[in-house]
Amino acid sequence: MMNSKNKIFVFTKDENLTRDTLKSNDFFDILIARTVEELIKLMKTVPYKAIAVDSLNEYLALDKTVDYIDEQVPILLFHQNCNHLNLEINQLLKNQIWHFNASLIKEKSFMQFYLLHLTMAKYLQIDFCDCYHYNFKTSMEKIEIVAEHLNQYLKLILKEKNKIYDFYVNLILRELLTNAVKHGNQLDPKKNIYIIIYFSKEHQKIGILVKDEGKGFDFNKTFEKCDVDDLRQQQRGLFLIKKLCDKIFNHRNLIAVELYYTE
Amino acid sequence: MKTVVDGKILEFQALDNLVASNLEVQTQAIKESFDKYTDLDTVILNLSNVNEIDSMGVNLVVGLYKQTQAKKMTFKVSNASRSIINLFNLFKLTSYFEVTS
Repeated sequence: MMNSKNKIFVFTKDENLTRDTLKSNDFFDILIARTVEELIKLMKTVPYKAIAVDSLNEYLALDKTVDYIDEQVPILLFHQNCNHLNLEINQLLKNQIWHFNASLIKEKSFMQFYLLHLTMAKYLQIDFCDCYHYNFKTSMEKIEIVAEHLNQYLKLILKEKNKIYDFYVNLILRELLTNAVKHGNQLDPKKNIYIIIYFSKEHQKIGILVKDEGKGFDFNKTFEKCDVDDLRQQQRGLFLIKKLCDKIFNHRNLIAVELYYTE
Repeated sequence: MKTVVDGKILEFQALDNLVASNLEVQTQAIKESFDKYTDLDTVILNLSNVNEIDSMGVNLVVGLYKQTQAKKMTFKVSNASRSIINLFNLFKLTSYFEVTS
């Protein structure tokens, strides 16, 4: 676990987005900048891990800060008509940019979720080349839709389909979502489930991050209590996650896993 | 889940993936067939239409195996994909019943 908080700058003119509404937590500390000047001032004085901007206009304004932004710092860009597979905007900066649908920023917890995701990504040393995100209200049926989206995503990003790898990635996604729906949100249709699937060609891995709105759990402690009888009729999901995933990270109601592959 | 009876052999043909979202229907179909056909010595689960299976799907297969064992019947899984066979191996289930591709 990290010893100190990471600073994340949120560059936004939306008065509803404040340090309080975005809530700093164990992982990160939010600093708000309303103008480019404020942002530059922060950059000059405070070490930071990432910058989040809540519209294309704010992103374009970052052009003025090119001299200050470290190229290694990822930028979270929330904008309209976002299509994670077909981006048409020109990239001004050399930084990695994660694109998110602007409408989602209206849910403050969603942005907080991404920010947590980002700091966790740093913790896991994740390199992002492509990212798919989705959220849905608790429902077993929606798992099928997400699984199908993932299949399409895998077809796009992997040159040659590796059927067994696809099978395992899909399987792990289903296990994570089933856990979130059944055990996390307790089948409450009012609660949300958030998913991010990211792909790093450089490191040949796929990551899946799932967050529910339940009370959370400790993966390792729960796993240790699992039944190990070959013919058990429950508790196989955690076993699969433990067995098939190369990296597992769990914090309260959020779990992230990575699976490596070879082309 | 389609059922085909040939003599003392009952074959379950899964028509859809064995995953959490649709297991309730499939479990019910299996239960009804077990209640309906009593003079059997073999049960086969045909997975030719199954591309995806999750842990709850595996639980369904284990449950089916246990039911056949309780009635002293032979249980087999047929037409399983390589991925599904690998998954059954992971859970050591292939040491309990025959799984063929």
